[in-house]
Amino acid sequence: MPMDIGPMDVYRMLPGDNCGECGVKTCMGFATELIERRAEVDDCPLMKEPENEKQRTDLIELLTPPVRPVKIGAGEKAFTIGGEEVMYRHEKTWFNQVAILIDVDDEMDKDELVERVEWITDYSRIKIGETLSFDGIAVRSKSQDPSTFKETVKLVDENTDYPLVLCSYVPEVLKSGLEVLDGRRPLLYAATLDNWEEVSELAMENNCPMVISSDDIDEMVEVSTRAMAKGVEDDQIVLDPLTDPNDLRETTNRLVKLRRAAIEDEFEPLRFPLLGIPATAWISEGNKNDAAFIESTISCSLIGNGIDALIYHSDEIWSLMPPLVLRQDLYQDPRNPASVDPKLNEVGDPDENSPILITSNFALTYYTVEGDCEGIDCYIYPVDTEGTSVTSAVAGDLMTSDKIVDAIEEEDFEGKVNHRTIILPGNAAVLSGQIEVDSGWNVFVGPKDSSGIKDFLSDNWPPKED
Amino acid sequence: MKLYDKDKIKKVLQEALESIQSIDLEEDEIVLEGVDLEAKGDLEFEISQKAVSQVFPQITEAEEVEIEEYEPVIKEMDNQIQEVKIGATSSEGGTRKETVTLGGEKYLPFYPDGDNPHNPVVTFDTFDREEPLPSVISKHYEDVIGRPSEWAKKSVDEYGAKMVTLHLTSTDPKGEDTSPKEAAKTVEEVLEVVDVPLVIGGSGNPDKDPKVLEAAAEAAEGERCLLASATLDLDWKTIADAALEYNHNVLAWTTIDINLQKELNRRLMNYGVDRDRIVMDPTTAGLGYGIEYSFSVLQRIRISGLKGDEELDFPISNGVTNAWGAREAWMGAEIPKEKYGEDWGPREFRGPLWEVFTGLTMIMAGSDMLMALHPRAVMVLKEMVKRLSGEMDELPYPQKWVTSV
Repeated sequence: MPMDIGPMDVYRMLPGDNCGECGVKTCMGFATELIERRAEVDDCPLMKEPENEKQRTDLIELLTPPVRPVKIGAGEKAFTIGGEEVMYRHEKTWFNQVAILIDVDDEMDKDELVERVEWITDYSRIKIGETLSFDGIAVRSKSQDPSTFKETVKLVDENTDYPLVLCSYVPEVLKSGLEVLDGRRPLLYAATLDNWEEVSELAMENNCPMVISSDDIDEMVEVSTRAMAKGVEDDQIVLDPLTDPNDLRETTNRLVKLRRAAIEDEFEPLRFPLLGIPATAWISEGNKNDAAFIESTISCSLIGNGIDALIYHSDEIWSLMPPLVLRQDLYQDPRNPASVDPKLNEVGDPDENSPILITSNFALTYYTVEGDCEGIDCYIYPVDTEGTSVTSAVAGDLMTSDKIVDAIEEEDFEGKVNHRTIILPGNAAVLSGQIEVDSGWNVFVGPKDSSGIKDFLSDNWPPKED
Repeated sequence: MKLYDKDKIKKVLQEALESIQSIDLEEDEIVLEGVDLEAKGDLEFEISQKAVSQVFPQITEAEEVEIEEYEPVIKEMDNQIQEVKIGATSSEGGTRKETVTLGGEKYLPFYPDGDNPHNPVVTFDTFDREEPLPSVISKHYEDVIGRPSEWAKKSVDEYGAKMVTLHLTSTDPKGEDTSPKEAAKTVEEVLEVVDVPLVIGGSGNPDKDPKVLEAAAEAAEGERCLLASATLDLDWKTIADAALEYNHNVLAWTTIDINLQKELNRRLMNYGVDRDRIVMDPTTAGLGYGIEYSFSVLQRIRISGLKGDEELDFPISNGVTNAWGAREAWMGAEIPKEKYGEDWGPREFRGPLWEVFTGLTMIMAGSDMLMALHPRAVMVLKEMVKRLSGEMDELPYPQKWVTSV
């Protein structure tokens, strides 16, 4: 869907009966839902009727993002990559998080393999209220032997419900891996100019997506055109422009060219999500820690340029945590500023004498304040400012004395601490008088910037007895 | 194309068809494998595509896929980012051995559109007091902490720093409260000991910083340092005056807000600060702590600058050291296990990698200069700039990752 499509363009293609069957009262409302990707065309029962077939296909095509979405895997753990509309996240948002995949290979010791697969599958961490985890496992055929590969794929499959990528340039090897993965919709890596015909057949027979791998864009166009002419569907292709860990300039150039081809030119043979392989860093790095460090760093440059999926070799959490966090950050929707729940949070190990700090619930503000309170035992209460900063919230009546007075009551500040003092951000000083009058609590006006909290507390805390 | 009797060709082909194993179509040639046409009496022939489609309609149809050509977009931007030179050599009225030029970009970083004249640079942070640093960093500087000139020298000699940032944090009125005059002496000492360009920072105290930077600027007269920082909420005019009077540059620092950045830049320009003396710091939020805001503000600033916004077309500096505020960076391995039941791995790698991610993400968004701290982080950042700017030879056949990793 090009950036400039509006609800009117979509509305024109809907039945216009305002029947409400889709769950939205009017067709115009449904059009907006479709544009915002909160609904699907088939939610409208009328569109599914035979006489509307052409309109339905046209509308689906109109709503398809420039980078076609591709689903990898089946079932609950399936994930979608691509589906992007913009080069830069500030233009709208980046939609589908870059997928983070870890490899295993068919020459690994079996116990080691199972342990690694379980670790990848079980890893999760909560950050800013979201679960960070990996997305899938890439099984490489190091042996290039079909039966060895088959056995390995089977073992991996038995130990994970994550989607898989089958990696070999030998169609026969891929085929034997597919034989034990009925209905799992793995991603096939990779079709090249030499083997695309056989790999395409495998993709078609097994209804699974495939990667086209080449460092030559013309070659990619040729393979994807031929594969689609043969019958591979447009939701079955992923492009790998090759990750050269040394010459990242060329790697980046290919990445940018391909994204522009899809997003700005909507050039059909290249409207597909892109796969990056930072694992290539291990080809020439001897030292394990150095390789993991460089691999991770390379992926950082790819994530910044909007890659859609990544395959890593490292299983060191210190090297995988940064990409997990970076993608969480960059895939936050800039149109809806991230916010935290307005509740009394504990930092460190606070007790009845600890200070209570007030701030806004704009995630950036909150986490900055929390970071500046590192090492101090205290409570922080983020007022629901609808995700705006303190200054804007005070100016826009989103941070008010009423909200704070209510919070003192509702969050039972009295039950938490023995003192009766809250600390307001310097930029909310104007609210202090009213809060004192309405709540009976003392208000300290703290620093304007939370980096001054430590100093402020060491000068002013605990409060002196009157 | 030789002409043969139609019937004769037909007959030959009919016979030949029976022995065909496979057919390859290449250009306008047909290769019939397994067919020995020569045996039919010295027959050599070429067949046009048209003829082929008449004889084998079903085959040619499938093979005739039109491959559309793709011409990648190459974008020329309207504007070039202002160049700002940090440091002055003896011929330029200073004593630096070399200078560093920031800015000058015509394109987004490492884009296919073209080469930018200067790569992003990394400047090493040093402090004039016993800065409380995470132990994973301080252990590299144990021998020099609290002795700024030795620290600066170590950064240059041991870690190859091309630029050094001297933070005069001891001037903080809430700390040691070193006087501007004493701070200026430190600046002189550092300039004496190292010959790379210098960035001079205050303590972040809005009342005192202008006085400190003014004294520092005077002590460093002619050296074209970068004074950090002028902000909207302090007496930036004093800093601007000092830069103009003693030949320095000004770092214009705002807090992740493109409009405030425009305003500060505009004020500096209107006040008379030359365009080639302004560097911007739109604030660096670390990885996991709002980096997306910095990323997008940087990208918007750089794109606006390249499109011709003359209030935003200045080089960008980022304080990457902020990454160390994240507990994921500094916390020892045992704490997350105890506290959150998680293994985060050794901080010897985790910490610097956190700093690298923060820095590299800024570079990808358009940064020209990173202020960084951990020696390993700085080393890797420099290395990545090399790889990203194509200074490293390509790796032959990266496809082999499938079998040889």
